[in-house]
Amino acid sequence: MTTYRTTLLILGSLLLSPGFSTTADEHSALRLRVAQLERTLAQIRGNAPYIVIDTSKNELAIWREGKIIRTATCATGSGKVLLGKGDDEWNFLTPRRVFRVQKKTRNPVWKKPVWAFVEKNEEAPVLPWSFERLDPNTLGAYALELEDRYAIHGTLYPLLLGRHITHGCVRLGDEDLAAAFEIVRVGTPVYVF
Amino acid sequence: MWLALTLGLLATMIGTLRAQAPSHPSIRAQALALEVDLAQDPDRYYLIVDLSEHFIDLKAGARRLKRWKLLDSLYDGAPVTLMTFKQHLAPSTPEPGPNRGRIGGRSLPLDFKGRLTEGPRSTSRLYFQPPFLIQGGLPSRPQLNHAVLSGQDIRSLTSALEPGTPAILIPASEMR
Repeated sequence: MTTYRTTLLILGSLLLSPGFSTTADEHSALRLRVAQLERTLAQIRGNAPYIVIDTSKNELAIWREGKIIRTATCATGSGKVLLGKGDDEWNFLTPRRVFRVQKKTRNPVWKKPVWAFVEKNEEAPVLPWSFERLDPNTLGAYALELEDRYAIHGTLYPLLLGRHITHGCVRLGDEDLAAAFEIVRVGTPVYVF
Repeated sequence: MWLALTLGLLATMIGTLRAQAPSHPSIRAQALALEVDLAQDPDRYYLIVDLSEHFIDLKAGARRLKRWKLLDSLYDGAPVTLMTFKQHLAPSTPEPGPNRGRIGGRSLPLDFKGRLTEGPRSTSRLYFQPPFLIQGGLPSRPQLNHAVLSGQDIRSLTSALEPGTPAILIPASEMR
């Protein structure tokens, strides 16, 4: 009987001792420390929604409270370089960085930049507010405007979603764009990698 | 004698179970403390390479952005390590240097020096300091500290990294 009791004691201590190296007091102190650090991280993280864009897979995910609440196939920058007159050069990459939504726009009108004309071998209007620059169709029903003239917007070519084809903006299908527009707020972070 | 054998067997089983269990609180506390520091900058990407739970998390400001499942790993080093991403070598990475990696007009094999020591490369490799390698497929020198991802996942991870990106490495075993 004593032998079995001893056996149980040895096994119990083996199971309970963490790594055979810390005492029970140290162990509980560590658990408290872990809980405290996890609370700190939860505070930093917050519960607000955020958008994650994986450019290598052309996947967009909307996260809220630690869970993905919506995923979508998007289109991102082609990586092509367009050369213009003189030293003009445009690189159509979607930058890997953290953006924040600056503005939410319904029925956005695209004010075409110079490269949109150069790409088609056309002369760009001299005046930046020229009527010829305005295009009310290309961006779809909504735009989530980010920094540096990048945006998440709609597309005229839904069959090209999932490809690296844009000039740097992120294109979404109609339904996914409408959902994203509803969920995110001005200031929502957009993590692009 | 039977008692001794039974005890020995049980102790081995417990040891095995413990080695497979999620990380020990001291390791977890160290990893979390490092993460709290990194998470202070909400715009900085960092990695959690958890060999215990077999995943790599991409995070920023304590928010998880992406999780990739590890296919394999080997690590024999300090318990919790803060690593720094150094460089990415893809099979198509040209060797930087004079003459843009050419000798006598012919281009050198890509990543010439690395190939001399490690053989031909078919997948992307991500090098960290202290030395740790993340790549698609097993390294040609299996004794290297490494983690293996699928080819697609390594591409995805690569697009998130730039030199200097920090990574917290959590070892597999709590017995260290």
